Amino acid sequence: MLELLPKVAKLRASYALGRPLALPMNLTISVSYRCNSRCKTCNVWQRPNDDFTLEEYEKTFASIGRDAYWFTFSGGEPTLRKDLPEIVEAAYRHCQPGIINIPTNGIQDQAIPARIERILQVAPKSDVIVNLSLDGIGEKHDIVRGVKGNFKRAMRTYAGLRALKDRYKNFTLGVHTVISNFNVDDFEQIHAYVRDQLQPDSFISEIAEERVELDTVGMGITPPIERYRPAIEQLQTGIRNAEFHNVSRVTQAFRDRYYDFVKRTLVEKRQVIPCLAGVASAQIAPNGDVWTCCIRAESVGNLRDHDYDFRATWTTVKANELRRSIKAGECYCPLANAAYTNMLCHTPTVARVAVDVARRTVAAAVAPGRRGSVAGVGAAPVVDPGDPPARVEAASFGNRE
Amino acid sequence: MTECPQCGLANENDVKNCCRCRVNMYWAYQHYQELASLREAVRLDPQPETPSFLIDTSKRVDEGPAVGWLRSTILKFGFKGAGKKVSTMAE
Repeated sequence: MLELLPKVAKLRASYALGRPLALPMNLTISVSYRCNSRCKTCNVWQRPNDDFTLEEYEKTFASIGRDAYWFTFSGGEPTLRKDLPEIVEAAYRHCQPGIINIPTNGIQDQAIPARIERILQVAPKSDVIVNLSLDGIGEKHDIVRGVKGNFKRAMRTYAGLRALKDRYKNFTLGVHTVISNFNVDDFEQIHAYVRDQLQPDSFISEIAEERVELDTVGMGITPPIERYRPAIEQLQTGIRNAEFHNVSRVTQAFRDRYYDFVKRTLVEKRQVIPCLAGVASAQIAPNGDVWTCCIRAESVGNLRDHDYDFRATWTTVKANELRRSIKAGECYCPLANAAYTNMLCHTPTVARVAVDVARRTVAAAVAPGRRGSVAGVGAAPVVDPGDPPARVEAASFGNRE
Repeated sequence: MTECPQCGLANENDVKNCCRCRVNMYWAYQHYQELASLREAVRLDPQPETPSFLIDTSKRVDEGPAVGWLRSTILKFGFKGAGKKVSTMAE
């Protein structure tokens, strides 16, 4: 990650000047709006499809080159695209990203592990992170996500993905929960199930937010701070009491800070740190529209109109106008994807994370083993999707030191 | 005309979003009542306080139609009835 430092300096200069001196280090590629979930918190599946072809992605990634470090392949449900491994392979060949992140609903329990394995094979030098969505336990998950049997399938997918961990050292398996008004009261149960039964490499949570991309504007799905705070602080307490190792110590410290930012954003209704969306992060819609972020989802231009040249699309008058608007604080949001890049580019946040990591490192050296370890994942639990809340047999639960 | 379940505005029958509050009309006919009840139970206004920049942006950039098959389903069964054809969890 040290290679990011000069990049961060360039991006901060770009923010100050209001025009890009470098391409974003964080790119989200939405490969399709198609989705086989019908979540109560998302309407993206209703959007018409005009997806980029593999050839169009080839040209686009060639134009981006090595500038981007962190790629997220999202949707819709990204794994519905049979050519997802080929798309990722094209990104890997042209851009060599350090991190490739893929969220999934886990419904296609046969196809998803197979496609992810292919991705792990074609991107051996990237850290590939797959986050399985989990918005409830058992039937509650199905109800929130609008698909009967989704939970059982997701657990089968989880087991299939978990089996890949022994063979691919570049693979991180995570679980991702969106906290909305529909499930905020269930979060404690979800958290306990993930922590005690699934034991993923990471558990992340995002607050349900109104986004133009997802067509959730005006829906009121975001829980109020009074209900969100106890849920997320339970997770934060878990992070603070756990013992992490190596890079996990840094990522968990950033995660803890992120959850603080979410709470402040809900209360203060403003950008609590400068937002570098449109400078440090960007999103490409399935049809080639380039956005500064998915919250506003305003196109700065379409790659098809610029001969698939990302830089040309990224330097339009419209892009500069959106950068001005974002910098002026005309919008705010708790979007996780942009927030992590914003934190990396925000010196006070990086300094606080550094202090936190140093403090934890010293504490671990002085009193090893006092906290529960979550860094090393124990032997893979055998998930029986037939009886979700109870029937998980794991070789090791609890402390996995 | 179709009334928005959230704000009551009379919209054209084929709109994707309510012209005033911007809520997705298909979603509103499936889930608005449930969410409004959840919000009221914790003493929140049933109608959310969506930031104005989101309402403005949505009006400006999201006038597009829904995917064709959903539009046809809504035309055939109505906003409420379409839910049973679209989600395996619809009552």
